[in-house]
Amino acid sequence: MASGPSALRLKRLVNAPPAETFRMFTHPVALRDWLCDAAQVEPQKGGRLYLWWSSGAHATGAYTTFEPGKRLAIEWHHSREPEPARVRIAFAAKDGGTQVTLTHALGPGPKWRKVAPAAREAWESALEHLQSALETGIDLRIARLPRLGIFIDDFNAEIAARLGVPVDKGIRLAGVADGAGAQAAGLQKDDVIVKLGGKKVSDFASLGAALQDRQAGEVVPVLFYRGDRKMSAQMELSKRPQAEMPPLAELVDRVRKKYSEIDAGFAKLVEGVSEDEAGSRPSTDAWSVKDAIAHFILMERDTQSWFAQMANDREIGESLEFRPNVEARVRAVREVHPALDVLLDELMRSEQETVAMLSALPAEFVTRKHLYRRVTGWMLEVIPGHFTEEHLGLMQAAIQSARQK
Amino acid sequence: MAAKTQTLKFKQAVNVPPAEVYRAFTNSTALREWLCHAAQVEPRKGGRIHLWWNSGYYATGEFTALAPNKKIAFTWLGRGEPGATSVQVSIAEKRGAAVVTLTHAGIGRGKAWARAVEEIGDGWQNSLVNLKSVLETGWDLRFTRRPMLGINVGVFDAGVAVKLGVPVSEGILLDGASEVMGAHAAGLKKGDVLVNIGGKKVTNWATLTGALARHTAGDEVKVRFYRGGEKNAITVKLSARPIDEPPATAAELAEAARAMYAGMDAQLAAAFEGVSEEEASHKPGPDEWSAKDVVCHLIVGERDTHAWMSDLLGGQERWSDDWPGNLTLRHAGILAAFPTVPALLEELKRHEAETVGMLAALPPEFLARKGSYVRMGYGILQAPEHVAGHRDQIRDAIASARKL
Repeated sequence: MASGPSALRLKRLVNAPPAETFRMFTHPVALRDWLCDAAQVEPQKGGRLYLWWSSGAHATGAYTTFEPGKRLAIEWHHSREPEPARVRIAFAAKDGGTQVTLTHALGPGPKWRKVAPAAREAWESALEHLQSALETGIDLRIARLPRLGIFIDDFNAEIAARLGVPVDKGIRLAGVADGAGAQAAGLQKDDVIVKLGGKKVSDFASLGAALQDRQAGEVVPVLFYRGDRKMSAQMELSKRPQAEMPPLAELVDRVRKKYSEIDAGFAKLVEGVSEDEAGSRPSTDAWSVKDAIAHFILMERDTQSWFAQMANDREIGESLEFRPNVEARVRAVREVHPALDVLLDELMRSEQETVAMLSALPAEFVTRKHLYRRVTGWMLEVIPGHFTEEHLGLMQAAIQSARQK
Repeated sequence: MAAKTQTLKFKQAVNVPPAEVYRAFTNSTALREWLCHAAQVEPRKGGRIHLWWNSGYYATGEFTALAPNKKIAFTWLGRGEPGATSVQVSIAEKRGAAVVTLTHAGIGRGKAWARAVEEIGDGWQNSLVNLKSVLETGWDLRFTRRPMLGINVGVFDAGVAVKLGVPVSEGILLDGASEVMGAHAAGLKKGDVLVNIGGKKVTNWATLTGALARHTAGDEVKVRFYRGGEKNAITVKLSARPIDEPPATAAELAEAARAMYAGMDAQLAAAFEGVSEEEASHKPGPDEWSAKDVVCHLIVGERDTHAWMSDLLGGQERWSDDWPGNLTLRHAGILAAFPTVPALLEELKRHEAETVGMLAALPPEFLARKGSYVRMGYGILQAPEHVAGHRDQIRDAIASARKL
């Protein structure tokens, strides 16, 4: 007599060679781009693996079969499954791509019956994510997070009275983003959202809860006040805009241009600024301009180390890109490069190194779209944004504060 | 009727404040310094704990209770163990020092559990002794008591075996023996081929370290070896590695590092004297490094050291000791920004100065974390050994360029 679900069996055809598909299950950097949020693995027969998710779930186990490009068996213990099970994955060349067949053996009994549907659903979407990571480099888990396209402003009883809104809890719009769902649904500044997708919305946390389990592309009803008028609309949850992924030669050119813009920004910032002013901290905890430049130098170095790490398919930490900002490290860079122009020279040399590393990225790195996409996003958006949006204003304030002293 | 499960209980006094012991169980950097080789923890109720040993063992669980400086409880599922168990750590304060009581409960009985009982029992016993050592002195006994034969290992294969007249083709060839260590004292010498240590066959580096891993420094082991065609057996007393205490203050450590770097820089300057840019760029073979590549590697080494120091200071060390790697890519970057030998050597000096600067700025609370401080200080002062090998590499690369 069958006492429980026997095994989950799923298939998916992906447009990538078996060796590359196999790699997605056996390299820590690759695993985190479709399956989990961090991974530590020993890619060999008998080697251990540890995967974890930011939800709190984790899985431990070992590779019991390890035949590159052909098959894997994993002794698999997921924290939300009652006991260790076995996951088998077969890779077969098919139609120029790879047929992935995944089997997850489930144990007998009610405890397993309870988790079986969730396990099936998780693997189904995971294999879809695998395909996307291999073929486009897009992590669907992030790409599908729904976006309303609204900017949020303060809201309280006083503002409600001023606007004539008869409730004092809700989400007041500071504006809507161009091209996103809120704009298309006709929402505008000072509208106060009170219900979304059938769920009450009173503050930021409840807005997040209302969006949980929703995906980009879904259309949901929204209820809001415009003054004392209660209105409703159907709103499409937008997709996050995907960063572009230009070919390597174009990327290098554009990165060069971004860096010259940043360098010009620094040059303009420090024009007429004395060494003392540039070294002055607005408060003990806030950086001087020189500290911030040292921080940018360190960011280049850490970027380079991260590229090397990814090019080596090696994961060495939970957060790939960021290292802690440590006072002693910033200070050491400043002491070795004491003058403003020396510090800026070192920054430019560091940028030059990053550009040279980018140009030297091996072809297989660029082919691995999930890796290359991280690099393009980082270089074209994160680094320039870090200057203009996060530090430029702070540095200007530091100079102002030095001048007022 | 006998209870279905058993509880193992351990007690250890540690002469540090309870807060330090609490941190040693709830911070991933601190955990790897005394208990495991890598750790990932989320120190909150329901947060995960994952401990990883080089031996191949791991344990995973979740924190079930946390009372700062007093109590830590977590579940435990070790690799190969029949089921989950639970660990509870209580920290009491006795005249300013901590008394740690650790109970490991829910361990089954019978054959299926026999190995786990032994491993868990020995594991906690030894680890708590190490906890005391690491917190009180900074020294990890797994490192200081690691047994050493005191030998240099040469390349050994069938061809070498024929030349030496040794009738086996697998073993450990002695290329020399340190005069202050056990192998030399027992009479082993260059050309001997070790085949068995303490009853374990040794054929390569992995089996050699495997055979030694079962012992600690001071143990005596039987070593079987060939000297030419003759098979011999002797007893070797395993040595401990010579340990230099790092200086006690950040200023002294920085000064020691500064002096060390000055010596290394002088050696490098001498190695490059009269060397043309062309000679310095010459690669002896397609996959071999030029003299400039070697300097790039030293620069990368300093940068990675800074990053490692930051992680240690920030208390969020990486999961593995592996450096990021891919040196080809990194050298390409460095050579683009520092194309000449003088530019490279200057950049190296600046990076060394940054290392010294970071050491000088180590905050007092970091020095109090002896396990991390000793590891950092000892590790950085080992640099000359690393550089000596690379200096020879520079010399060889230049000699090869001049032969052209």
